[in-house]
Amino acid sequence: MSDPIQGHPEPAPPEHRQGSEMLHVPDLANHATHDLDLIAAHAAGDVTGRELETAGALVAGCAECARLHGDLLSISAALGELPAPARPRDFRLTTEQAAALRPGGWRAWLATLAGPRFSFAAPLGTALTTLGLVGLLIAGPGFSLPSSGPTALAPNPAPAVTESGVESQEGAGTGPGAPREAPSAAPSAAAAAAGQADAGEPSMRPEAASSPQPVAQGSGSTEYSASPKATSDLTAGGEPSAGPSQQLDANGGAMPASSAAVPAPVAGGDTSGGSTNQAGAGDSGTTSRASDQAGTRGLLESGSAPSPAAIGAGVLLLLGVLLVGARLAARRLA
Amino acid sequence: MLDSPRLTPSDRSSRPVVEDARPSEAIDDPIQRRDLVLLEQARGGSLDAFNSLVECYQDHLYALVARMVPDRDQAGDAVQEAFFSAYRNLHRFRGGSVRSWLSRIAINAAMDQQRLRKRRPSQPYPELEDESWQPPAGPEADPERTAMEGERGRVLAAALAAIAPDQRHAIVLYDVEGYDYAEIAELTGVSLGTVKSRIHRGRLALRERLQGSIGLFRGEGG
Repeated sequence: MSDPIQGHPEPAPPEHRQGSEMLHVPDLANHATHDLDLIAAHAAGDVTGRELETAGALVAGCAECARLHGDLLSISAALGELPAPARPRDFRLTTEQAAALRPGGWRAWLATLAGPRFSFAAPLGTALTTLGLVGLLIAGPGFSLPSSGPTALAPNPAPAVTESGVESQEGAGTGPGAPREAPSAAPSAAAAAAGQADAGEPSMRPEAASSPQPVAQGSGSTEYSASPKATSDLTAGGEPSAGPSQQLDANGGAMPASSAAVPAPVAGGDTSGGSTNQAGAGDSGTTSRASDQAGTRGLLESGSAPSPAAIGAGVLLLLGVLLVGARLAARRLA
Repeated sequence: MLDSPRLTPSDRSSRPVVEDARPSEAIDDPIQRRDLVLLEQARGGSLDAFNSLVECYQDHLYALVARMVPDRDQAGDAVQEAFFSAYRNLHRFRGGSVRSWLSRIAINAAMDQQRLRKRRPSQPYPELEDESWQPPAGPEADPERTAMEGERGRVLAAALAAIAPDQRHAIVLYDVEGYDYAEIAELTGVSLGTVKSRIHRGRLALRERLQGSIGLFRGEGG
């Protein structure tokens, strides 16, 4: 016998039926056209309004529909009286089964961590991770506060320091990357590092300290400037022209530590010769290369001694990652 | 309600949603209190306490699962797996009815079995073994009536095993176990309308399957 009911796809849920389907008054004499789902819904008490009226009309006017309605009610009642099937075996757990099921050791710890008591672990871990990341960004070696930003952004006017302790400001196009420049041009980036060394900074490069051809242009005061104008002045003519804004301290390189070491990340370590952040129009690109090299060295060297704040941030980050990871792993295992 | 005796559809329609009613019932019901005490002891590591819960509910859970999964071996495996899962996840119980909690675990285990079976359709359900479906006969029972009820239960169980699993699950949960539409929708992960549709069409399918023996039911249906 065919099974016209099971063979059909599931109809739309009753509440999604189009009202017009139900408003249609069927031909009571032709049972084949009657909506059997509606009769079933009526038997289950799930129709209201016009659907109820239509179903009632079908049950009242069609003997087959009335029989179907009665059969469905009988079947539903009989289902509620189905005897319980006999249980074939005992489902109590043995000691061995319980031991195998109960997690032990680190699994027990993970199971506890997966429980509702530790639902705070994931948010807390996320917060710690975020704090750690932010802390690392702030306290890390590559960060400079906005107040020191202009200085940090201006590695170009890095001073050259001679063995005699005289610092000189070099043209930006005279670094190691451009040795064919004017003889008076000393590698400004290297000299910057040397200047740090004179000031007791740990980032000294010995070869930089012995860089040749220092030119002392100092007028007694040092002022660093990030102005593109200054850079442009230095590079356009190929002559070192330490303007007022680039005068150096001739007394010995006690330079602000940030002037050489900090700018590197801003320059992005780009040694491709492209324009740097601070380079204005007319910058030769060699300026950028030299300053970027200096900055990169500064970053690498300064990274060797993380601050306590950075260490703390790293610990927070580690704790957060561990907490989130443990919670996720525990939930997955559980 | 799960813990209620058999309910007619009219009773169901007037009941509040179960989730709203559970907390207050859990406080007053001595069975609930007993269950919660046993569960707490089981959480503390007492296997005896957990096995006491198993003793209390294994008949109910097996009857529930056996109707959803007609293969008795698979039904037994599903119930065993449900108790294993309950034991593993004692720490996840968040209050309410222990019986409902165990039933939900068992229903999930039964549906997992069904999905497993779907992936291996080459294994047909074996014929139902009649003796497991015989109703208990009281001393006052009329032998003829008992025989007729036994036959009716047998053919109905066979028809139930033959309809589509989704329709069978919905009918067992609604008509046999007494869950309401919302609970079934939550348990099976479908919409309320789909639950109703499955029940309606499942009953139509049952009637179609029972055409040859529908007389057994018409005597009581009026």
